[in-house]
Amino acid sequence: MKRSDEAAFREYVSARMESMRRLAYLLCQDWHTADDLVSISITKLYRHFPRLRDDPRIDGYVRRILLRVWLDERRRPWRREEPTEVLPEVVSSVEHGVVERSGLLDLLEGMPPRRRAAVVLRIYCDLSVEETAEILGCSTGTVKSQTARGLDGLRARALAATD
Amino acid sequence: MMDSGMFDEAIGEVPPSTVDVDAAMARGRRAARVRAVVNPVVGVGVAVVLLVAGAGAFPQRERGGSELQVAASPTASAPADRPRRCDSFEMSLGGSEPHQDVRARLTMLVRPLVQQQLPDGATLVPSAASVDRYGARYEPLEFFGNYDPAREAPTFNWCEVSYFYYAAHADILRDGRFGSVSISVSVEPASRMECGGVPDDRTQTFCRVFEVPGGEEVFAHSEEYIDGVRQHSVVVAKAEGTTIHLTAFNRASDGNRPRFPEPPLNVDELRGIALDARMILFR
Repeated sequence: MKRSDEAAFREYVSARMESMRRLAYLLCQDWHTADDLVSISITKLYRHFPRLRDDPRIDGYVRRILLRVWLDERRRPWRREEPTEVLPEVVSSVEHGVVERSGLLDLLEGMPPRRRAAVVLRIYCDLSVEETAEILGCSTGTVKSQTARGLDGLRARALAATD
Repeated sequence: MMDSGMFDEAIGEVPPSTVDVDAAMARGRRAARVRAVVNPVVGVGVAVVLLVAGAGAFPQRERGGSELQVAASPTASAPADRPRRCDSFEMSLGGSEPHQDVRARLTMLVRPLVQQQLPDGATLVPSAASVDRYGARYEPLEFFGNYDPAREAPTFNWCEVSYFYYAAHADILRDGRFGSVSISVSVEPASRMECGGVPDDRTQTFCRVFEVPGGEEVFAHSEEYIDGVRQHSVVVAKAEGTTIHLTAFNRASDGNRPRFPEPPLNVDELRGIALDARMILFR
């Protein structure tokens, strides 16, 4: 990579570091793992950066890399979640159908990975259905249904937690 | 209505970053060097060959459509309809050695290496994890390719080398009780090789990061979970670009409660296997 590309890469990564870490944290809910995901993602980005640096869609590509790194890490046997007979206590409340903020992460964690990703990309990253579908590699209909189920699930779990 | 502000509020205070941008760039440079050294025609030659000859040989993916399948796999354990494009293409990027040959070579190499480290009477039996995404099951410590076509990005033409890794698993039966071992071999840069920072459900009982004379970086660690599961792990990043990850558990791959106090292989034994000079992707 040319020096100018390296400088631009460093500048780009520094500018996006916080947003990448926040997105990674929402996906994996552990700051150490989130930083691992970001590290792996920017390593992958490095290789393609000269080609991508002037592409206006670069942020979308980075999100896609991050999401896939996360999904891949989850599949690996040493990252596999351990089964437990004791479920973590979910503390949350709901008011007028809106999930209280303090319990949002707990509720998000209870979703299947791709549904969680759909909700995070649509609501947190404010992406369109089409953009989310491209990142997730699925149809726009799937994104709509996954997001709707995710939001329904959030509301239902929040309601159940208050009963 | 939910909005991004709610998520930011839920995230709360963000701790200082531990992401090392310089290290990531160094890994990126190393990966680029490996590709350049191993196969200088990656960007041109292989693409041309595939464009000219691959149309009939590799399955084509249409947006939103189904994949056209190629002929049945030569291996008996693989279903006839599994997409072969990335399985085979990936490893042509990795070097001149055909994909199936790499799998066979690693399998023939690792099985005896593991067997040698096991006590008398221990046998390798199939693992519940030895199944690829197409449903094909594999023998104990038989390597198979792990790749998810959904990860193909339009921007990144062809399959990414780093999206692919070889995996092998086995349960280890001894005295009617089970342990297990998992191995991956890839060119993906290893995750952060630092001690500490384990999730709340486990305790790190041992950790060491060091470099051996051959230039390999070694990350060896042991962890104990709250339910009594113990694991020993070794990650070795070899100078020629291969990353090996070995993990041994004191329970079988079915997820039942551990039956042994310790995993069947200790950290030194795992390290010995990973550091074997023949355990490389690029020859």
